[in-house]
Amino acid sequence: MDYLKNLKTLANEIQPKWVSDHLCWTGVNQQNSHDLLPLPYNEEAIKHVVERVKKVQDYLGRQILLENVSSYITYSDSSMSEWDFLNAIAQAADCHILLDINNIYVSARNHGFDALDYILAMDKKRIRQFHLAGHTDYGDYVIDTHDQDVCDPVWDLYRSALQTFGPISTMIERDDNIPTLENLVAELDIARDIAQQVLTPQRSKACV
Amino acid sequence: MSSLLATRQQQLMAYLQGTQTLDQGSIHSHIVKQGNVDTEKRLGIYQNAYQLRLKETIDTDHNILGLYLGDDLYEDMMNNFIERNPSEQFSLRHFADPLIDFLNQQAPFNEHPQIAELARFERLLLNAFDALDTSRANLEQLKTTAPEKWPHMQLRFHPSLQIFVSDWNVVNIWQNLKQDTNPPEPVLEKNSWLVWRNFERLTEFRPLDCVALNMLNGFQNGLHFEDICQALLEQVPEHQVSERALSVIVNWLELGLIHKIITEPASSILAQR
Ligand SMILES: [Fe+2]
Repeated sequence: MDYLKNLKTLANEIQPKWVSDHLCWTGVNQQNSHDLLPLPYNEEAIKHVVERVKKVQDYLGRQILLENVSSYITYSDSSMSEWDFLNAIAQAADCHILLDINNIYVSARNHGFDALDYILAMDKKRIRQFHLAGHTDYGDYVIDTHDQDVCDPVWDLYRSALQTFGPISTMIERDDNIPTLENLVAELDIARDIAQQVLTPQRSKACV
Repeated sequence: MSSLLATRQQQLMAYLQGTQTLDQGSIHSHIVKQGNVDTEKRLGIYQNAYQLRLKETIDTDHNILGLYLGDDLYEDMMNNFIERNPSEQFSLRHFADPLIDFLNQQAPFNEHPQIAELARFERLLLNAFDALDTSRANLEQLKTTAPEKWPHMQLRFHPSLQIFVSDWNVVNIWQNLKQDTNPPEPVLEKNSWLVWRNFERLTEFRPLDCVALNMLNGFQNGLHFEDICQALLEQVPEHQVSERALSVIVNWLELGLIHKIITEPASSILAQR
């Protein structure tokens, strides 16, 4: 509760556009893994998370955004896809969604699903922000390291996401191996270019 | 907690920490086999990240300690500390807080007390680095304090101020390692240091003499200027006391150590409530 109280004070001070957190768990029995660990995708976990998201939203007096994380394991207790899980929680808790497109790509590679299926399945009216980031590709699997440039397949997914959801605020995440500001801005410009191409209505030649 | 979700969480956490028990059951049998990457490897990504993250945290906080111990002993220390001190912190910033106690208790580190002292010095530097920010009093405020208010004057210090009192020459050891030179042999020598974040927001430290140390302790305990001067009589000839005390305070103001000069008696503050 102390944490929530501090968060509410901070939110009041800086008036952020959104408050978001990851859909995952980090610790148990008062011990912290300091990692974003996946949940099993089933009814029990939905109920568990929804109760808590509602509590947080009631306390803060605002809707929050839930963000999908990268994962490397699938529990045998899971009874649904990650996207059904996220949609079900967002609907039941009436919260918004932060779609991390790199995380979708990483998890798709690690679990062998089609990243585009994930994006197309998402509840359109709940998406408020996109994240983009880089990762490390080991061939058979991919690790979400946030220390590389955004790769081409993730740019392609970003394009598809913009086509699906329209203009959505986008952030590029980089935690380590930070390049020069010039390079960072150049990467941002790629995102801007893609958004411009996708979102500018194409005038038909007959009208010119 | 007895739900299936809680059980999985406990199993995965135990796996990360290397503390799985037979009756708890292994997380492995609850992970689906997928593609070319086997379950051990998948779980290993998490375990690896767990160890790496905690080691990086220790190494960021205690870089100089690492140089002092050398790679092998430092690696042993990190592994041992991580195993015995699962994080109960909300932030990694405080993960290595129990390191000083660990070094004071565990062999072979406890046989060389300067090791724990060196770690304590590094943690004080961290505290000074990210302590809360606040305003600083200046010389003008001291000059405009009416003479009759001086006896009751109290000081409040900048939140970054730390006092490091050590039995060993660890600051000297720290300085040499920082400059990539061989550290001196450990020597028993009682010494005190001021550690704080200066006007340029850089962490700084300076030796603290006995007079200034006693004054600082006194002011931190809420004593008034007249009590401080009274106590100084044991260290300083009577006719020099006020001059000496004043010069210490002026020095503190110049270094940005003082947050507030309080000249109102405490009773009037209480009366306003
Ligand atoms: Fe993200």
